Amino acid sequence: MIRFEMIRTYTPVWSEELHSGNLQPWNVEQPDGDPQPWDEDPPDGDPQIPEEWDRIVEDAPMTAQEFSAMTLPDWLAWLGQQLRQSIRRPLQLLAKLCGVLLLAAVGQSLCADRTSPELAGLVDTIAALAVFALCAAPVTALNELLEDAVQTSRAYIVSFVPVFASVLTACGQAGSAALYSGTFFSIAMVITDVLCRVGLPFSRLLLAMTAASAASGTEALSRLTETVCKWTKWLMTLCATVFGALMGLQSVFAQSADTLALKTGKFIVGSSVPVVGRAISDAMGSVLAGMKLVKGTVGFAAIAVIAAAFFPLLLQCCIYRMLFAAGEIAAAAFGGGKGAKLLSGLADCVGIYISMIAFFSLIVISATMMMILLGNGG
Amino acid sequence: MNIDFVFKIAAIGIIVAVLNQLLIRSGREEQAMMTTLAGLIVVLMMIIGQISVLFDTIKELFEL
Amino acid sequence: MEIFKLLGFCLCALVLLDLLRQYNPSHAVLAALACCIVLLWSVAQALGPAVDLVRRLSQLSGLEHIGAVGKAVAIAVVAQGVQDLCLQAGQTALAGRVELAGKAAVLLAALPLLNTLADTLLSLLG
Repeated sequence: MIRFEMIRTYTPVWSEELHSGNLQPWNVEQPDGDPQPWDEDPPDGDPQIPEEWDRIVEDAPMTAQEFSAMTLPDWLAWLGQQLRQSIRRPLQLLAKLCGVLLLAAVGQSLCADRTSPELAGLVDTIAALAVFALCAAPVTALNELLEDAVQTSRAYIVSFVPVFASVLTACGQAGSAALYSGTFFSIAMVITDVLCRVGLPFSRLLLAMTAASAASGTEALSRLTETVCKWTKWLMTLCATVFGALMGLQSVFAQSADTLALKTGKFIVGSSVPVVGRAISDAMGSVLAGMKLVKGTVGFAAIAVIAAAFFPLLLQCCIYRMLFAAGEIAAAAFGGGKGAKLLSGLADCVGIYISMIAFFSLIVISATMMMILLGNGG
Repeated sequence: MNIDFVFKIAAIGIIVAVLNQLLIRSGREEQAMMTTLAGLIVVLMMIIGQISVLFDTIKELFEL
Repeated sequence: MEIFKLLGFCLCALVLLDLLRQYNPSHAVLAALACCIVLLWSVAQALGPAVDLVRRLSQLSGLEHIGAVGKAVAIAVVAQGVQDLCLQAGQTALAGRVELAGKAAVLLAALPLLNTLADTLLSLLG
């Protein structure tokens, strides 16, 4: 009993479930073969993994084992299935768009430009308005979907971060846990707030400005929307880079501190406990290695949830962007200048959605992956 | 409505022009003027009927 | 073929109009108007099947606003024809007012589209 008391002193976060001897099948050597009081199963649940961790892993759409078992043909098949599901409605939209553009081109050619170019210009405006009436509904739907996804991920992150921090602390990486639940959590909350309160209404404003500029045909307004879109994308790239650098540097420092603490603990145990100190510190090392696998599983569960929440949306946004770019080329070919400008404005708006999705999901996924990857050398 | 319609109008116009010249040369200018006016009114009546046919066709074609 | 009959008729009418212009210029305007009417009417007859096709396509695909574009085109064509006639007769003021009336009529025909635009903008900004 004495040696386990000492282990409890040095690693105070071990849960009581660890007192049963049957650790996970990742081959931990038993210190001795005698049946001990801790060989009995505890009264409730899985003896190794606390309930919250288990819940997180179960809630995820894919586990780490399944992920590493999928081969390239499996990935391609899954991608093909996703594409088939989301491409039907955009294709219908493309067909309707081509119809409207063709009709507008025919009408444009029927109205003589010579006598009254303003009347022909008016017909062009009407065609652009018809195009907007067609395309506004899908884009507003994308906007709402994005807002829902961001809110859902925010709630998920709020529930996930404390759990993952406890996993990290159980692995002996207290510094990384503090970093994850401190810096990353606050940054993620700030980003979701900014995206929901500022980014999405701003993109709606951009959409409205695009429509107005197409209807009125003024050059200045469309040039303004283009510039604003470019600035927004640049700003998001800058924030992502800064965040990556910040998290990377702080993780490296935290990880060195953690490794130092772990090695110190093992050395103290090894050198101060008589007779079996060496064995105990080795056992600690193996148990920690086991915990790191759990950390990988739990961390991967979070990554899978975020990816599953955002990947279909990302796919749809990319499809719509390509659609609008194709529509713009068609409109320019058919001679409808205002329709072409409207479609390029819509493509820019959807491009901003894509950047937002990429920005947010990359931040969460890269931070979690950094936590998983670092500290595996301890 | 067919192509004869325009020929009819052109014919009326030519006849009116010839009558006009005749009457002017023979010195009856008011009658010349009245003939011209009468010819114009007749042609106008014919055309108005056809204009209404055209606009009805366009309206029903495009559901205006 | 319909188009060749039309073209032949136009050439004859051209000669007659030139003749009329010397002797009776006001009549020439009326004759030109008659010629335009006949031409527009034959074009409308020829476009009938095409418009039917467009209507069927729009019913299939569920585009309710495509009719507005077609109406705008029709109004623009007719207004431009009358405007040309006015200019030919030398009445520039009349031509300008015809253009104004044409623009107003096109806007009126596109009113449902403008309503949709206003609704969408309000929902986006509100």
